[in-house]
Amino acid sequence: MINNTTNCVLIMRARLTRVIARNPQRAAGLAVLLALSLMAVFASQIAPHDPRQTGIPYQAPSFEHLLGTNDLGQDLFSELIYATRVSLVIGFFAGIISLVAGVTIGVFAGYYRGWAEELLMGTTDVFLLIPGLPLMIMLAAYLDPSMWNIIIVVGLLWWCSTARVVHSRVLQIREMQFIESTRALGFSDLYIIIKHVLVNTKDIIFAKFSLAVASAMLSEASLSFLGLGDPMNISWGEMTYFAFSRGGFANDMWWWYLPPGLMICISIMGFLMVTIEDRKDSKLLELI
Amino acid sequence: MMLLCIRNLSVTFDTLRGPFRAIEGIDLDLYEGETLAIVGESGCGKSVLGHAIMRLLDDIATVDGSVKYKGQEVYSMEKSELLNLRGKSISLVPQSPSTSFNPVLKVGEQIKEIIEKDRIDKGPAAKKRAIDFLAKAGFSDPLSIYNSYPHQLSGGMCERALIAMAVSVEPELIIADEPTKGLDALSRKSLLAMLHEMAQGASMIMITHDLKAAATCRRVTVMYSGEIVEEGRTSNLLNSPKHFYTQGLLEAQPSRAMLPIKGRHTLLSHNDIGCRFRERCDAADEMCKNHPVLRRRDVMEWVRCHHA
Amino acid sequence: MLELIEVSKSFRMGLFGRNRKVAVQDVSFSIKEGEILGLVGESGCGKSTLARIALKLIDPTSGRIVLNGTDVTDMQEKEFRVHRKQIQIVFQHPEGALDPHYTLMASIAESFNKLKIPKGDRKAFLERLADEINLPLEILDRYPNQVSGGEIQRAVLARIFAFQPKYLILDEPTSMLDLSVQASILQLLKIKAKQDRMGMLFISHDLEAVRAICDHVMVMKDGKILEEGPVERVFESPGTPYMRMLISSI
Repeated sequence: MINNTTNCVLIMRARLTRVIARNPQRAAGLAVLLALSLMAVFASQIAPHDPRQTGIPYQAPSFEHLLGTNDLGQDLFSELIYATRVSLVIGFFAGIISLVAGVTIGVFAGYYRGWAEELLMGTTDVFLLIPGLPLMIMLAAYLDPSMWNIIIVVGLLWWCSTARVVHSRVLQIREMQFIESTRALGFSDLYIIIKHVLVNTKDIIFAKFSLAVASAMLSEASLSFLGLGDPMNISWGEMTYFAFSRGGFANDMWWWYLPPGLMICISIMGFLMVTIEDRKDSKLLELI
Repeated sequence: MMLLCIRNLSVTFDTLRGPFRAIEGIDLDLYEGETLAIVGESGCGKSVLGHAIMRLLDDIATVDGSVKYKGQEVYSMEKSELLNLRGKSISLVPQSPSTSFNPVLKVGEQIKEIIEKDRIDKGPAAKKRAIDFLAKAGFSDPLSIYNSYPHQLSGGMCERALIAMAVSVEPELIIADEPTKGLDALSRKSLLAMLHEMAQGASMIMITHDLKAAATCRRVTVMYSGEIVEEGRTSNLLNSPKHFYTQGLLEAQPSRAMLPIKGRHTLLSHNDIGCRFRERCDAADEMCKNHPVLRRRDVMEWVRCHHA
Repeated sequence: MLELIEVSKSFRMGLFGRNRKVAVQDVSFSIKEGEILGLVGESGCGKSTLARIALKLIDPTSGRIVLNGTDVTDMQEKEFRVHRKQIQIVFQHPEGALDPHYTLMASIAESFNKLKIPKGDRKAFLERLADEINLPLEILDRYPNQVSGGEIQRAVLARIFAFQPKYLILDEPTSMLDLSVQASILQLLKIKAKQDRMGMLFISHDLEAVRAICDHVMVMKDGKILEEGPVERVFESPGTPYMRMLISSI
């Protein structure tokens, strides 16, 4: 039994080292994302204070308050930890919405071609032409400032590029011979789409998803910085907005506005690094 | 005069699964005006050899040994000398015709670009030269081919255009990598005739798995698993092969017995010291556990086998 | 017997389909069980279109397809699916023939559910298939990019043989393979046709291969069949100048 467990651990470790050796950037990105997720899940355990609890305002960083306090005397470090949750949830769900919409549209348009393709991809192109940020600002200002509204607005604006990329990949795959031969074996279209088309598109879907999450987080930060965020659920973007509107910038309190900005950068970099492709011995395979 | 002199050439790729030696200890001479076919199954290293001659593997593999072109060591050339060597002296006809042209540029423009790069002609003169060579490559309407995009041409037509491109700079050595791959019998026959005609005056190395194509060259080298196993004049080698592998290849032809060689061509067994073909060879015995050397049997005839 | 009767296919080309390109014109032939029918011609003569019509992967513009006496020409895909497993195809390029994301074993076993093979028998069934096509078992765990073209084509054959098809369309299955590998696959097909009474359409531009394994041969040019007959007769005394030219190019 013990032997078995050690064996398992050894295999896991070997696998991990291989993943790192093959693609160190992706491993680093995954580590960043893992750390952020842990922070979001265990926010209440990590944060030293309740971020709503008020106290002495405008304190400089100290051991008690690692990043000082804001104009109401709330602990900024705790706020930053809790904001991780909001930022990630918004990014993640907006990413999911854009993914589901984009992949469905891209796959159906690419696999079935014909008038469905014209219609779907035409719509996509129209959406792609709309300047994203101004529309988001308009929508966010018109709708109630709630987290879910932001998720929907951001998500619905990011599906079109996913649809485009997935569509062109599906076009490529459907011309491959194994699709035709699987069809000749009498498998149904739905089966082929799920087991062959989607499986072969998954790299792109995955990459597009992390890009969409990163972009959604960035859009959310922009919206929040403009004061269009959800005041009940404070995100990193909103923290910078408050730092701006409630005296952080004016008092030169860099420990207020810099950390949330850095967190945005780090998480976006994490998502981008995850999408970096494997190094492959493609040249070698070609020559042999 | 000796044009190309390869001594003890090895190429090692650094793969995820560890180092992989694609070719090992290759010795090869090529004289001026000579045509040589390098024959072997896929994975035997023949394409790697072709690329190594032009020093095209620098950034993806470790190359040991020496390649001398007209007495000058290719692997110690300066960058500018190397750029002159490629194209102007040695011209490569790459393997996959459909992907070897830039898809967004006209075929003719790409040929013209090469001619201008090697400073043979400029402007309208270069265009005229490109059209001339397309005509020589057997196109009846070279101007329309000049103005076509690669996707508008069939595989065979692309191959012809590639050959026209390679010869248009009048190289001293042409390396043609699988020029007949995927072509039907008629196209193959006319393409080979055209290739030899256009290569007249130059030397040529034809890398191929097609014995019919190899038969059009003066000399043939057979490679197996990264090594040269037999070399000789075409008629001798194809009529009375000495190595069991060459014999096997010939017998596998549908026009002969259509007998497959037993076993499978394994790629990564180079730690082994014996004869690399022994697992698939009917004549293998104890002696074959020692690595055979490439022996000279006769004038211009070499074989790597204990039993030949 | 799989019969194609006066089948034609034209494609619409260009803007709004103004130009029509005739790929296949009034072609009739039948594939009989246990017989290999060769189809030779240059690239672009319509061979591959004809193969896809025989499989009903594309519908003919006119003509009938008759499978064992049943006219299947106008059947919808759903209705035809029950007949699908009887006719199978092997393509020219091994590169795209198998889904790169699955091991050879997974690709071969993909259809086992569909074929309703009991879980306990699957291993034995797979081993029998692998043995039939001379594919070493240890190779089955690899992915398509880790094996040679010949091994992929063998795996494709195993995948197809699991359905025990009656007819096999071979669209230049060996033209991208090395000589020795080609020889072993051709031998395998020849045996399969005789032993299992499989009917095959062997499309190839390799006249020597056609001569070596086919019983009958058709010569195709520009979408039309120029000549048809027993292999020996056609090769010994070709009836058309075109076939004479093809033979002289060997």
